[in-house]
Amino acid sequence: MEIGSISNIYSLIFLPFFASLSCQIFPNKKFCFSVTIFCFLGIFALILKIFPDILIYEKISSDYDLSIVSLALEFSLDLMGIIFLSLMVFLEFLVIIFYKNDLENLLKSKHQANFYSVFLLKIFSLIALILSNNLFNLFFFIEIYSFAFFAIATISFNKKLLNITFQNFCLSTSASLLILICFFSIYLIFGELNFEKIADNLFLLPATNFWIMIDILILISVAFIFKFFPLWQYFEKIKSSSLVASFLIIDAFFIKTLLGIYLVMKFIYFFFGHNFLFTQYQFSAIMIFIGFALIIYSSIKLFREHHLKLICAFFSINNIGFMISAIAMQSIESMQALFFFLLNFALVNFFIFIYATYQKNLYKTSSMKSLYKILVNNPLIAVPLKFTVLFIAGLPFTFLFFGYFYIGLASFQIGINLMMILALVFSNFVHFRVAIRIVNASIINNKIPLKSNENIALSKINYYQIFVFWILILAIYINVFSAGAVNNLATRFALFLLSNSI
Amino acid sequence: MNQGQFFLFILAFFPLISWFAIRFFLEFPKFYNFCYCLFPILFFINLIESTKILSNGDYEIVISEAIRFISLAIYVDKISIIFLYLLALIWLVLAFYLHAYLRISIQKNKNDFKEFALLIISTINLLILSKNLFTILFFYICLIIECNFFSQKFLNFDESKLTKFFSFSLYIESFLVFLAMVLTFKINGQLEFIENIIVPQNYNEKLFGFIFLLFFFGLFLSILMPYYLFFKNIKFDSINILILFLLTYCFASGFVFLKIINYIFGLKGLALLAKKFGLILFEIIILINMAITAFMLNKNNDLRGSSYLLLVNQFSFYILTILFQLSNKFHFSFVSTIAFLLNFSMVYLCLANFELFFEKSPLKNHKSIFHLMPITSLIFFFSIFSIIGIAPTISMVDKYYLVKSLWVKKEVLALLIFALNILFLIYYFSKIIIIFCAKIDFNTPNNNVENIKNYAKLIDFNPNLIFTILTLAIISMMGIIFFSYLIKFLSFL
Repeated sequence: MEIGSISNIYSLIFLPFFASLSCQIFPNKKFCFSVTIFCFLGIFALILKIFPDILIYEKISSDYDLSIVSLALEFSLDLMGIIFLSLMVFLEFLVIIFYKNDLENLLKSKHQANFYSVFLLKIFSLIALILSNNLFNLFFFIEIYSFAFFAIATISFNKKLLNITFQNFCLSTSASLLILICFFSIYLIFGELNFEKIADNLFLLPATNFWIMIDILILISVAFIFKFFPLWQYFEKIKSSSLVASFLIIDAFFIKTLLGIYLVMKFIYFFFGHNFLFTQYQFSAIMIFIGFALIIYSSIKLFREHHLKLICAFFSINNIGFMISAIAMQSIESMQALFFFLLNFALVNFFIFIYATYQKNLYKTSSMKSLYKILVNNPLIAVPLKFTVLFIAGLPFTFLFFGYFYIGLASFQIGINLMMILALVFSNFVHFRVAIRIVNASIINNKIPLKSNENIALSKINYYQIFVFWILILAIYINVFSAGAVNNLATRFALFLLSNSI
Repeated sequence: MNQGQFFLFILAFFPLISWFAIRFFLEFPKFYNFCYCLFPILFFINLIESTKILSNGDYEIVISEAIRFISLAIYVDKISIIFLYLLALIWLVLAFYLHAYLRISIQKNKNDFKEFALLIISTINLLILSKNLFTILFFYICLIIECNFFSQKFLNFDESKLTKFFSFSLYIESFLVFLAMVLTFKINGQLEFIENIIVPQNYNEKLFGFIFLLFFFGLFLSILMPYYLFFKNIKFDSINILILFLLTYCFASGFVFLKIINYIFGLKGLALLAKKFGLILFEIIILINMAITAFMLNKNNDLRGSSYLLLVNQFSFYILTILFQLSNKFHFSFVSTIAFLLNFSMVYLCLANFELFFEKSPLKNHKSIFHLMPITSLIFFFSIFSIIGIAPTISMVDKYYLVKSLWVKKEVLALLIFALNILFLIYYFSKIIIIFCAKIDFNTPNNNVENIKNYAKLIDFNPNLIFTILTLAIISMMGIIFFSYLIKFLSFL
């Protein structure tokens, strides 16, 4: 492996760390924001530089082997990692720009420096988490990430939000304890903490000891659900107009969930492995059923829902359901579907959520009935939503369409997979219905004049937020127009996971 | 981009560009109207010129390609050319007709209505030029969204309730087509329209029968589902039926069905399916549907209230016709399609003339309308005779060959359906003719007879309103004169 590629990986990890420190050293609000933006630009540049190497080698990792409990020297980046990393960093970048003005209005200068510093620390832990190739590193950075997440919550000074955050903190701590027990057990069994070495030793494990793996599987599943997917805790606050609440909910619903999905996939494919989960113990039926249940649940909820934030939350649950089923199906087509649902989750659902947040800030409601106020009167913001409607409807060439197409291909066979055709019917219907309702909302009410305060609200244009909408819609449409390349990447992604699984 | 591709590009995007262009001319009403009528003429001329060049080679434009054989692509084949001419004719007629119709009508959002009709035409144009199932599905869903948009914007509450059901069933249709597409891809690994994708050599009867069912219901479910039973008092404007149902639905789904039969199953494949399973299932479904609509039509004396049911009734019969034509002589199914579209375009344009009269007149039904609007009434009579098959139009020859082939093949049930349909049409239309020709005294204290007559004359002698329908009637008649040429032209299929 080229030393340049490895040094890029280390630069990727430590760039936000040093940026975070510099925010503490120079607590000037303009400087902090600039440092954050430059840090993101640097990360994007590094990702772009590493990406071709990843496509060639599939994996870049450091070869240093100094000690078992090594903190600094065991990092690796593979194809799955770079896809998740790009998505998460891109979303974090958009979030910080979207909330820039609001945060500056909310926080004092000194607090701003603290905020940016903690935020960058979160980015640091996020990147390090994805690049970790060692269970010790993984645990260490999970804790830093959790700390940063809760530290941001403290700036809200909102009693109810802090209460929910405290509950979340308790869950997270217990989950951390479970993770620690699991990792310790793994170390005791294999005498290693490195992912690759554990994978090498897995086949040496006596068949009689496989019940230990089952225990670890159960514990780690519970821990990951509590740690990364406690979505139910945020449903109460999802319609809140509190700035910090919406900031944290975006983080919890999108970035934390993406991180959770990444770690789940990493453990499924590179720790437990295909052989253990799907050949020896046939977990695929359970997983398909869980995915199916999530899709049906979210579809039923979506049928009557008219609040965009909740719609987005149920869309996300729907996509997660499909991802779980796709993992269980274990075919190239299902993995391709997973890739497209991932993109849909990270880009389209994210767009709807921030759009809902924008509407909520303006008109104190994220109801679809009020959509016309923006759609009819502000074309600069209306156009991106109008373009997104096609993605919600799942028209051909959208992420959702390809997701459905590949999952359909994977499902048409005798067996439990056929169940997913039913899930497709439900999901397709509710997505199409929501799209039609958005179109109708802009037609039916467009003759109702706006109140004077609504007009004033609309005239205060936040260019940072508009920039985010347009960047996001641009990113979505670049993916559409380069559908060939995206499909190729989906195939590479699928082949990588299936061929490298233990 | 070579010359052929350039012509193809112009052909495909001309209506869409026209739609964009006229939106910029809204501030200049005269220029707007001039362009609205000019564009279809230009399209027709362009189509004639393009046909010469495009028929000499295989030209295609790939707009975007996801993976091999899954692309958004357009091309021209001989089936597309026939439908393009048909669409160009309808666009031309509709542009001139709407220009005059909306000038007299009290309808709101007149320009929006015109633009919407153009948008639908541009989407159908792209649908006709689709090179694969994937592209067809894309434009088919676009049409569904446009349908929904149309019903929300231009229909009143009761009508839009029915069209909500209609849009919902269209959505189910699109999903069935999607499933059929996925299965086709799974079996064959491609979705392109090349000769006989699913070849009979690889024949798995049950699976292909299932795919055929998916495609069939994916295209005709909306018309075969009797949801109209819940909406007995719906009164659609005929012009809305023409655009929303005849053009957007019947034209588009008829085209897609013929294309799928030709390229996905192949005539041999369909013949094998028909031999194995028969067409009894479709015959029964269509017979039930026709019986229900005939019953409702018979009960409903108001022509405006029953014009939608008439379309459902006759489109069901058309589906059965093309199913038989396809399993006998493929090119005759095109004759049936042309005849169906011409006949019903004439019927709905005539009815739209009457409705235009009712808008401002104190008279609100068709009783004695023949005496007020004789020209429109005569063309209307001609078009209903054409539907029955007794007027000297292309429809007559189509029906003759249909009966002949059914007789030779001894398809008893199909012959029975055909006979019942003709008998019912004769009965129903004779009722209408009697209403039209009845003599009533307009001279009541509330009516100013001269005003009524003048207003009727204004519509009945309006060149745009009459010549457009007459053009369709003449073309329909020319069909019988040049029938052998038409069959020769279609015999390549």
